[in-house]
Amino acid sequence: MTETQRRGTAWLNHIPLLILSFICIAPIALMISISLSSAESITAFGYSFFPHALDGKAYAYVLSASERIVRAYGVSLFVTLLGTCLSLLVVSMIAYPLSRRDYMHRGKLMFYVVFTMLFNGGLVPTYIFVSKYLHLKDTVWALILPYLAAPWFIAMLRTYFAQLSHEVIEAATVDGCSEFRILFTLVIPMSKPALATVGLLTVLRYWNDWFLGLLYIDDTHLYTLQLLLYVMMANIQELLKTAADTGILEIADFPSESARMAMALIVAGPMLLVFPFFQKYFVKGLTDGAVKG
Amino acid sequence: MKQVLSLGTALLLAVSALAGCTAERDAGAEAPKTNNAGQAGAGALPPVKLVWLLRSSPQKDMAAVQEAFNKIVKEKINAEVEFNFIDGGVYDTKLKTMIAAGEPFDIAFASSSLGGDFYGSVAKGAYIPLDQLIQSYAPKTYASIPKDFWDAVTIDKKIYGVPNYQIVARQNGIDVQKRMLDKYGFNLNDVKRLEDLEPLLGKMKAGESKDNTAFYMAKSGAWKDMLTYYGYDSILSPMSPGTVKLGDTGLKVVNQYAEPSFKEHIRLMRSWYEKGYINKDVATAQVGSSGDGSLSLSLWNNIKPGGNAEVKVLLGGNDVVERVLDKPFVSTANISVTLQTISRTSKNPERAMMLIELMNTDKELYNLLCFGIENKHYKKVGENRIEPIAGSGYFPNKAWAFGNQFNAYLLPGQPDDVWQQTIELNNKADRSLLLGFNFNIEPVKAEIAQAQSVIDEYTPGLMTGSVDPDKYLPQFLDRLKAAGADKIIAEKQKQIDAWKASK
Repeated sequence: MTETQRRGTAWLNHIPLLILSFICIAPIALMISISLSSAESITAFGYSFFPHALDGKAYAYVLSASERIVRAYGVSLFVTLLGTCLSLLVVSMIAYPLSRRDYMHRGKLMFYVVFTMLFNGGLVPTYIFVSKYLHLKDTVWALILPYLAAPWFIAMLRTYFAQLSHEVIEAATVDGCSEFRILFTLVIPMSKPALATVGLLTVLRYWNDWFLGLLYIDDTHLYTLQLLLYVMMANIQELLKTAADTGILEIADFPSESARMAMALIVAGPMLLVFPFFQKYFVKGLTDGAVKG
Repeated sequence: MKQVLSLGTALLLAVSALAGCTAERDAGAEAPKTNNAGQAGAGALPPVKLVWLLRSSPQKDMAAVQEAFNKIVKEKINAEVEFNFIDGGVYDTKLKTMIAAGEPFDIAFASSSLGGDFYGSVAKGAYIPLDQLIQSYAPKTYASIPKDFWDAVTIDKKIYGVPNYQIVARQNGIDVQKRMLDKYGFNLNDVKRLEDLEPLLGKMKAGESKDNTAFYMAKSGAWKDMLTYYGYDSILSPMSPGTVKLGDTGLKVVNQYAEPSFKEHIRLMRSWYEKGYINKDVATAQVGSSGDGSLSLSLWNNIKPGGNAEVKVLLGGNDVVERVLDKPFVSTANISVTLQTISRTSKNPERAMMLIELMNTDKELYNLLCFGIENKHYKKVGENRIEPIAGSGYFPNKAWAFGNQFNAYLLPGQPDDVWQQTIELNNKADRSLLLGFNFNIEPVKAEIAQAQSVIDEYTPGLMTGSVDPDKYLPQFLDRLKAAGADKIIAEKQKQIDAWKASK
C-alpha cells in the first residue's frame, strides 16, 4: 500500500468519526452559544450556533445572585467525594472475597449480590426503609448510602481481582500477611486501572443524581446541584401549566433561557474536566471479563 | 397443593390488608361524632401535633413564623403545627411517594393539576371523606364558598377536599401595552374578535424595532385558553380530545380539533406568523412573554381583578390595557386546582379540620403564614395593605395555596376592592354544565397517553402558526384517530351520560 493510499483509507476512517464527534459536540456548542446570548437576541433571532450579541449576564446572574447554587455546589462536591471514597472501599471489600476461589460462601454471597441487581424492592419499600427504618430523611447520608454497594461495580472489580495471580497472595500468606493487609497493600495497589474506572463511574453517578434528593431531601440547604436544576426547570414547566390551566399567575423571578443554559453548563462542567484524566485507565479497566486470566 | 396453599395465603393477606384499610377509614369518618363534646373550649382538648404539607418554596425564616403561628393555634385549639414546605416542582412526586409509603401527615395541599393528583389519590383512598368534619368543625368555611362549587370536590357523594377559595371564574382576553395604543391611536374597545386586532399588530410590526414582538406566544399557543372564546367546555384538560359545546344541555362530546373553529384559529395564527406578528422562536418558547418581558407588545391572557399588575411585570413594567373577549366561566378543574385534604394517616382528623377552619376564617393567622411577621417580613402601609420587605427571608407568596385568599392582605399593585370584585366575578360567572363531573381515565389510559404524545408533537407547530395548517392538520387528525381519539371521546360520552342519569 502506498503512502497516498494509506492516507486515503485513514480519511475514510476519520469521516464517520468526525460526524460522530460533531453529533456529540453540537448540542454542547449550542448550549454555550445560548448561554452567551442575550435574552433579546434569542427572542429576535431564535437559537443559533453563534451568538448574535455576546452577553455574559446569564453567568453573572447564576454565579452572583444565587447563594443557593453555591451551596448546592458544595453539597454536590461533598456527596460526590465522600460517596466515591466510601463506595470504592465498600465495593472492593465485597469484591475481594468474591474473587477468591478458596472462599467458602462465595457462591451464596455472589447470588445475594446478583439477585439485588435483577430484583429489588421497588420504589416504595426502598423509600419506607430509608425514611422510616434508617431515619435518613433530610440528612446528607440519604444522598450517599443508597448508592454505596452497586452490584454491577462489585462484579466488575471481582473479575479484575480474579485475574491477579493467586501465587502472589499465597506468598503473602506464607509471609504472615492478614487478609486485610493483602487487600490493602497488595490487591488494591495492583488494581488501579479497575479502581479508577469504577471510581469514575461512581463519581458520575453521584454527581448526576437528583432522584435521591427528590425523594429524601426537603431541606433546601441539602439540595444538590442536579436537584436544584431539576426544581428550577420543573418550576418553569409548572408555571406554564399553572397559568394555562388555572389562571393562577405568579410573579416569579425565574431565569431566562440563557441563564438556564449557563446553569446546565456549570453543572456539567466538572465532569467534562474530570473525564480526560481518567481516560488512560479506561480501556484496561473496562475489559470486564472479556479476557479470562 | 402447594400452589393452592400459597394462592390462598396471598388472597388472605390481600383481604386482611383491604379490611385494615377500610377499618381505618371508617374510624376517621366516625371520629367527629364521639369527639363533638371537645368543641366547647381549647382547654378541654388534649394537646396534639399536626403535620401540614404545603406546596411552596421552603423559606429561610420558617422557624420564626412557625413559632408565632403555633402561639396562636395553641391558644385556640391546643394544637401545634409542623409545616413542611415543598417546592412546587417536586411536590407531586413527594406527596405521591409519601402517600404510597403510608407516611403520617395530617393536612396536605392537593390539586387536580398542580400536584398530588387529587382525584387519583382519592380513588386510592389516600384522603378521608370530610362531610361530617366540615359540618362539625368548619361551618364558616363551608358557608363562605358557593354551594355548587363543592360539587367539584365531591366524589361518590362525599366531599374530599376543602377548596382554598379565590378567583375561580376564568375570563380571557388580550393585553396590550398602553404606550402602543396611544402611539398608534388604536381603541381596544373596538376589538370584538381576535381578527379585529390585526390593524394594530400590523402597525406595531412596521413601526417598532424588530426586536419587539407584536403578539407574543409560548409554544403551547393560545388555543387552550380560548376554548370558551370559541364556545367549548373542557373535559379532563383543555388539550384532551373531546369537549362539550357551551350551553349544550344534551352534553354531546365532540372532537374540538375536527371543529371548523379550530381550523379557523390555526389559519389565523398561521397568517400572523407569516406576517411576522408572532415571535420567531414560538415553537420552542416555554413562557408566554419574552425574557424580561419588555419586548412583547401584546398577548392573550387570563384576565382577573388585580391581574393587571401581574401582566405589567410580564410586559416589562409598561402599563397595560386589557380587553375581555369571552364570558367569565367556572369549571370543575378551576375549583379543584387548590385544595386542602386530610390524610388517611392522620391521627387527629377533627383537629386538622379545626385548623383548616381557622386558616379560612382567622385573618391574622392566615396572613401570618402568607406573609410572615409584621415589620420583620413586611410593612403595613394601609389598613389592609402591605409591602413585603425585600430579602427578609419569608415571602412564599402563595396565598392561593394556603386558604381563603379573600382574607389576604393586599400587595402593591392590587386595587383596594380586588377581593370584592373577584367574589362578584365568581358569583356571576357562567357555570359549566359539567360542574362536578370527573372523568375517570382508567378505561382509556393507554389511548390518552398515545393521544397526548400526538398532541405534543403537532400542536406546538399548528397552534403557533409555525407550520402550514393545510398540510399538517389532516395529518394531525389522522394520527389522533389512530391513537384512539374516538375511543376517548366515546368513553367521555359514556361517563357523562351515566353521570347525568345519576343526578
